[in-house]
Amino acid sequence: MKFELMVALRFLKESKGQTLLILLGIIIGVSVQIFLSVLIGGLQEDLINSTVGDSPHIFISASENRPSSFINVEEDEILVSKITESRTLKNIISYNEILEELNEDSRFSAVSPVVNQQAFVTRGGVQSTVNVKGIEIDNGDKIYKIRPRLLAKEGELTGNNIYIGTGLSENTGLEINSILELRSSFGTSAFYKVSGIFDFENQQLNDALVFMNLPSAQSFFQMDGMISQIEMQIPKVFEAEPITRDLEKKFPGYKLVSWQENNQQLLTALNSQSSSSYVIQFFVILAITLGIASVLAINVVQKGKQIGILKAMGATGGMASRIFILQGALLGFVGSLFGVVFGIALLEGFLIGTRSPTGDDLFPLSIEPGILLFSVVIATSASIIAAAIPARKAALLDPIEVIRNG
Amino acid sequence: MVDNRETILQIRNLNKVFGEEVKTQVLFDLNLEIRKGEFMSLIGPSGSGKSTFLNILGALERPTSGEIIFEGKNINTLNDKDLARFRNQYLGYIFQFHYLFPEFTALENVLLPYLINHSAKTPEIIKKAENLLGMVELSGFEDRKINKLSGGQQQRVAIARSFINDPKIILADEPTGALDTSTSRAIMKLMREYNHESGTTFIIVTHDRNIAGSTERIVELVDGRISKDFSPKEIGEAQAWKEMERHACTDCDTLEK
Repeated sequence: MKFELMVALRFLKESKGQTLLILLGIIIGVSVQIFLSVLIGGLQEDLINSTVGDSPHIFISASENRPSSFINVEEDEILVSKITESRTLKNIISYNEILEELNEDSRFSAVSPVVNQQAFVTRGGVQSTVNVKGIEIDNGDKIYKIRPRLLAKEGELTGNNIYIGTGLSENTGLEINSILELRSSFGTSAFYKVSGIFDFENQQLNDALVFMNLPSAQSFFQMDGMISQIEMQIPKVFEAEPITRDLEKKFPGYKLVSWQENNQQLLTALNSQSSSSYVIQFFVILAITLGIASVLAINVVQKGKQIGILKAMGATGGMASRIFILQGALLGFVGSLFGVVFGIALLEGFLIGTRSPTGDDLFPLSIEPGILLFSVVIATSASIIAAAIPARKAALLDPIEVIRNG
Repeated sequence: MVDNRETILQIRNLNKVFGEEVKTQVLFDLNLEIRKGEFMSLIGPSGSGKSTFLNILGALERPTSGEIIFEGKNINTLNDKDLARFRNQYLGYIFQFHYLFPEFTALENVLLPYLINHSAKTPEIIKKAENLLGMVELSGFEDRKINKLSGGQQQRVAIARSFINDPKIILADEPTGALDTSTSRAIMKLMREYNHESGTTFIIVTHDRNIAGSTERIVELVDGRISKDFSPKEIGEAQAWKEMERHACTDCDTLEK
């Protein structure tokens, strides 16, 4: 192998122009491939983060189809019997056990029990519907990042304090410390104090979301000892699906939904974006492969004499072919290493070029070593494959042809 | 005079036919015995089949039928890989065109046949290559690239290269064909000296009777058959000269073409 490597290196060194040209081709190809994959990856991550970063990734709620599971809950049988049919189905009754189990599970970065109900606010003769979310503020904050987004705050989310969005504030004229009356769909009503106004940079949420302390919500909506669902976040959003399926097995009788199931459209869009990026990357690699193949094919013809003489002097067909395989591998490996460096430079350049006036990056790009390694492996393998045909030619070359024809 | 040296190469009923559909036979039932340390020439006009014969002797080409027995072993039975190893170990080649590698220096070119089957350059082999370059009067040219050498120097590097693995037989195809008369003479002298020193067998293909005349045995090939096989020393220089009458002109080959 050492002999083949020596000859391969010498061949590459001797035809410097050719070697540099094809190296340049590989460098450009690999850097474009890395640039593209990291850019698309970053873009998608950014999009997903803004979509699900500050919202739950997995939801557990009572199964609508299998009310029997509630009836099985021990100690709460009396309670069950009291609850009207229609609401029984949708609420998790004995949630403490589930919560305990989930809190002990290290896969979750946040576990938050919530009560979700609709209520009405009447103000100046206009009635608006709001979505009340009863949360334990510390746990809910982990998911919704409420505190950092409060524009105004007068007290914690306790007792009769509620937080409303900027939209609702504008529409109804409610300000900080304003008192408002909430009415539930089944007729109960109570007064609450606006002790915080948040801006979620999302009109729908700003217009209709109202945060309330969990016990207050439970009592207002007559859901003592019950919650609507448990919301969870995990560190790696794309692991939501398998974890959800796992929880389904653990908690039969409950309905488990992952964020993916709620965002099918987004995922379809991302998938097709990925596919088109893969297609481009594939053709870039194909172009590199063809480039190397053609350069090496010319090389075999150019070095035909040398190969013939080497074989006359006792080099085997295997040795002759390895000389070209090695040339391909060397070109691919060295070229892709430089391509990686150049690709990173391109990405940095892109970030600097698209930076906002305040100096913020357009979106964060994470260059993972795995992607870089993958590019090097792919480019090197493609180069080796590209070298296969010239290598075969070299293996089959008959020294006699060379000697006879001078 | 009876030659009692051991036989190194024995050729038995050797035939070579080219072509699949249109068959052209170039060698007909050749029988020849070559002895260890012999310094012989193979002479013949263009198209006589002498180069083909040499290629078969050099294990570069396989005969259509017949046997080539090297030190008692039929090399026709070897597979391609073993044959390549055989060539590397036992044979040395000198071609009309030097066929050196322009990518390598003179010293590296000399080392190439060694490196094919050895993974490392030992100090001993480098010393040996340097000595060989010295022997062909190229000391000081070790690190020169091939295209920075004259035609005669290049051929001398090629000769040094053919010696590196201590081959048993050296096959030379028109080794002086591309060189002027005085350089040719020097090259022949060099090969003869090495033949004396090392006892290596030389088979030199030539169409030049001056070259053939300086060997100890001349085998003439005409139309694929051995027509003459004599020792110039035994029959006398004048007679030998006459025997080679048809190879009188040194440019015959080029003229015929």
